[in-house]
Amino acid sequence: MTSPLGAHRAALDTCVFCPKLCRFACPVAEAEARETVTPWGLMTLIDDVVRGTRPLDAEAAAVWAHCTGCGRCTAVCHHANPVYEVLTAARAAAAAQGVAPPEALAWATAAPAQSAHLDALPSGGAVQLYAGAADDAAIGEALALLRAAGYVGLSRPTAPLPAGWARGAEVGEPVPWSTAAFAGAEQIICLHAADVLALRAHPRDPGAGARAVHLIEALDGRLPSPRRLAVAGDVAYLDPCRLARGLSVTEAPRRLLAAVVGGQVHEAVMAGAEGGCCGAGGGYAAVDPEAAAWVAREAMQDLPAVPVVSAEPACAAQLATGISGATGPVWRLTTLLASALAGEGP
Amino acid sequence: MSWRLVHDPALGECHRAPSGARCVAPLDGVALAETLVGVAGRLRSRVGQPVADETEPGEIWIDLTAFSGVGPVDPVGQIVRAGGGATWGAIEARLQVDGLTLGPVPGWLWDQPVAHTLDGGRRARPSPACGELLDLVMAIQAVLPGGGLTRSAVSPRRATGPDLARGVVGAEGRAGVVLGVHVQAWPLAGQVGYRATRFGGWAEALAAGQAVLRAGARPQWWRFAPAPTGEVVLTARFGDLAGLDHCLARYDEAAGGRPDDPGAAEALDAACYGPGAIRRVAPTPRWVGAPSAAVGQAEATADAEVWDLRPEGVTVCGAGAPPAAQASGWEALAAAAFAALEPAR
Amino acid sequence: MPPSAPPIVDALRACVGERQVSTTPPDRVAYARDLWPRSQLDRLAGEAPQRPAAVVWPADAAQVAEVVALCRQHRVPIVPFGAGSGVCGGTLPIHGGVVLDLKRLKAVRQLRPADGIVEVEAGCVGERLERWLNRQGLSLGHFPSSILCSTVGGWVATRSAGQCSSRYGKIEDMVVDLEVVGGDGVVRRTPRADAGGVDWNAIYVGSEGTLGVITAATLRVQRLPTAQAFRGWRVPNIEAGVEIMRRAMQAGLRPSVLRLYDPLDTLMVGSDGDRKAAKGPLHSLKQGLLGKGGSGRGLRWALGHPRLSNGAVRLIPPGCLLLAVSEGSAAEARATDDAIAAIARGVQAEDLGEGPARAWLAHRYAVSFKQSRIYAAGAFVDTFEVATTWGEVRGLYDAVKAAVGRHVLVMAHFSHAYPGGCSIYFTFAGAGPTPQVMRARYDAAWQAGLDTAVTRGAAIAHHHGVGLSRGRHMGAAHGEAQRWFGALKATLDPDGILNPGKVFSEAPP
Repeated sequence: MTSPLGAHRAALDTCVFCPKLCRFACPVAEAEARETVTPWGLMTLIDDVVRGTRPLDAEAAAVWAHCTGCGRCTAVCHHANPVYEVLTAARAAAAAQGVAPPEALAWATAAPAQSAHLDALPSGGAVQLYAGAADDAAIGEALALLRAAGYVGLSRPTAPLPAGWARGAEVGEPVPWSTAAFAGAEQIICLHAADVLALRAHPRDPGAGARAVHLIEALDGRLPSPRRLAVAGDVAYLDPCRLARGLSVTEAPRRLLAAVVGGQVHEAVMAGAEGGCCGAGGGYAAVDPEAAAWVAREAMQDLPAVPVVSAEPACAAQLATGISGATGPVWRLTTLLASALAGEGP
Repeated sequence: MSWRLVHDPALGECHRAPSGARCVAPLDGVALAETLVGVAGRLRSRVGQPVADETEPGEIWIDLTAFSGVGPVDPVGQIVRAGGGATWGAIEARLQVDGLTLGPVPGWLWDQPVAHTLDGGRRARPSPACGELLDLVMAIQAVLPGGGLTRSAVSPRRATGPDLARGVVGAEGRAGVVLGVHVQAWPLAGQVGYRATRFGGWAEALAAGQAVLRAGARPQWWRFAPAPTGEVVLTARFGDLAGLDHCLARYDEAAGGRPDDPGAAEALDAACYGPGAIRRVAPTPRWVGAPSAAVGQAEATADAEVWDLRPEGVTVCGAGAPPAAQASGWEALAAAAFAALEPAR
Repeated sequence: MPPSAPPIVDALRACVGERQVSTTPPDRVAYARDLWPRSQLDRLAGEAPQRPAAVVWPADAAQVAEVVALCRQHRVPIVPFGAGSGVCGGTLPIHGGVVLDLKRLKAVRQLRPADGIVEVEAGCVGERLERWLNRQGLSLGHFPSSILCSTVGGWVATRSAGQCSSRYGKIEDMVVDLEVVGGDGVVRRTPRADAGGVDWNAIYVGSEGTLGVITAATLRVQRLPTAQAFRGWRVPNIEAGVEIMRRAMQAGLRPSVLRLYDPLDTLMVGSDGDRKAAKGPLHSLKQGLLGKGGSGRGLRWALGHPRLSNGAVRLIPPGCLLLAVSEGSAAEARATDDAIAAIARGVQAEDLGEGPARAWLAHRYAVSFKQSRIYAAGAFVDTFEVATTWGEVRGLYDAVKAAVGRHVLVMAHFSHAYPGGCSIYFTFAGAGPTPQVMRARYDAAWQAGLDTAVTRGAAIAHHHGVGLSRGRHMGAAHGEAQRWFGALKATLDPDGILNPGKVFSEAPP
């Protein structure tokens, strides 16, 4: 394997000769306790393939699946080494060679869940909702909140879209989604930051110039005062990694949450711009659901036994899988916001 | 019962006790090594001729009188070399010639040879300011049971495997004989200050002690003991080299309690420390453990005293014999390791 | 010892679970090396290291004991493994066998603030522990530059030191007791360090996995300091800086950091402590060593001609940067800072204010990020720390620099100050036309440095441990004391399965 991975020589060298200084921040390395899946281990394995000291095969590709793309490693690296960028290039090389894990391809091409709320919307309006992997309940909450925040004329894209716009690129599968589905959009409101990032990074402007924003950004500062608290006691907030680090949205969800919680909002030891990772991203949970559940458990390890809140539906679902009822419930932030506005409990 | 002078094939001229224990007084390291090559038995370091018969068959008492020298002193590093037979008092006296000190040397250690203290391995002189006496020992040179001579870098700290220089500490002579040590010293404090403070009880007093440590006021010695009134009195001596006034001010702020006559501390200092100490017998440790359990232990101990209070540990001393050591399995491991040290004969 | 252990793999899986035993090539390769720079040179030379036959991830001490018992039964070597950040080759499975990764044992078992202790399992990564303690208003006070990538068990096993050891001590000063699994497969807890008798903690601390597998440690913790004071000085020369350090420590002061850079290291740091560019002919060398670009060819040439480079270093002005950080209560921090400042005034040190020490603190772990760029440029870099008494510091520095400087460019800083002396932390960098030549120069530098340290009676390691890089010098450093090690090894690891070939070791390959 030479190009295009050869273009990442500097990034590879930076990692391969580094004493794993980002390992404390890597949720996968921490959960699996395995050197091979530290950023250093992943990059070293890529380097071995590039140098020809080991083949590019399914075994290597299986190791490269062990990353959620949370970006913590890059965030704490003094070189801001783009580990996930190199890793996705390696995954693409594996996919091109036909050795990528089949679960990754299935994840990348998965269709979203059926949603009556979404189906009820008109299509092709100025403000379009791209729900990605969210389920119908989450979509219903999002729509209720957006309406309460003053958004009118909400619509859905004109064509079916995958459960995650970013997924193909993340696992290296060439899945050709078309931004034509967003025709007519001026604003695309996404429930997942990964989709916002992918749409913003798309080589063509999505929907002919539409701006992609996250639901939390869309709601921040626009919701009316709640009728009642959604929760009287304490909760814990966990940052979705791509929202906190990718979009730098850390304060808005906390502002929204503080308005509907009576008790203390607990934080993880690594929170805000350093926080996040439930194990759901990057196809990791599809390839290794057991280990991804460990990541979810790790994320909540430092927290007291109080309900956990996440600002993204997929993260909330993954966290719930991870704790499997061991501690308190996991709530979507939108659930609390919607119930507070409606004057009901979550 | 008494010792008698005999000729032992392995030891040459030596003393023999009725129990079978032997005592030999080698004149130098070579003689000591040669002695140990040919004999087997538990080694016990002492200084001077044997006077008691607290011996067991097969023991070999090593009279380290020939290894009682102190010096030279490294004035830059403030380190002194001392033979295993040198007493702590002799070391302190030599250091003071050069304006140095070990810190307060209790009366019960003044005449104790270094080798004897190391053999026992117990906390001998706790001092928040000057450190535990054993911790001042930077390097130990010893002769192994088979006659081999150990080396040890004279260094404040190291990371060269297990602390083999400490292999002899606490081994009760089974791991070898201490030939000599290098000991870290402190400058003599220009002035010292005393404090005595009364507290309502043990809980208040020990908590105050921890607060004093956290404030960075470290006494050279301190003692917590009950007064006839039922209060607990903390007496302490300070000799902070970097500023006594600062140190005492931090103590006064952190300790709380009711200030008492510091003359009591000064009197205790004279009674317990230095060559003229009246108190020559070490307080008996009754309990060693975590601070959170120390209050109950102190309250339950007759004539309780605490001389050793650290953030993570407390030693409560009291009347009576020391409690019997509980078998933990480590004794058997230690015995096996010491047996493995014995040369094949 | 057989190089591989397939017969017990099934038994291991039955013990710890199917998923927690791996024999896949990627895992075996990943665990075949640690961060010993010589392994990097081997890699550049295209040489594959000895791989373990299997990697095992036990969940708790009981599983560790079972694994050890199994390996003992089959006479299979075991290498305990933390995070693999060691720089001496201590975790290389030179005899194959099983690598025992302990990172699943990472729980904080108990925190007792009133008793000033935390009990934590061996696999807990240091930075995570420290952040967790900070949240409770506490700190371990242990800040090795590897804190981001090393474990509690690794710290204990290698007798690690943190950057604030002058105040808080080394890890051996923090250990209250340990939970260990012996080579006989029995879980034991050592007696408290203050219990008297044989000090088993002193035996296991630094044993580098040769006498037992450390599975948990009870460590002293501190309350977070409420105040810090920072100060830097430009001192006329090394002697003046060492004198300030010595006087401060012997006065009973307890600064958390006292750190003196020799002239070349001062140039690298920048006398303002903020790593601003130097001027003059050494500029590109500095840029190269700091990984800030410059010509890779120029860097390789300079490092490949150490006599010339070290000669050029003599042109650097003799002034040195000295940093101090004092902490504790506000009163103590201020008093300590004032007292050190008074000592510094006595040797005509130029007070640079707070900036240099604050800058150091902000970049305290950054140095490790630089080495990757140097390797990427086709050169090598390593560090080598020794310790000695104050009276020997300058002589040891000169002697090691002269000996090592024949092979590599060398600089140093003086840190980890204690009343009795301090550590000298040498950084050396070299290059060569081929990986083989680089490796020969690397080995020659190490040999010269250790020979010199032994000859001068210094401790040949202050906090990196022994591993393979110092194993051959251990006999000379300890004399017959190695028989103590042999007796302990025979007792605690009767079949010699625990990290064989380490501490008093076989020669590097």
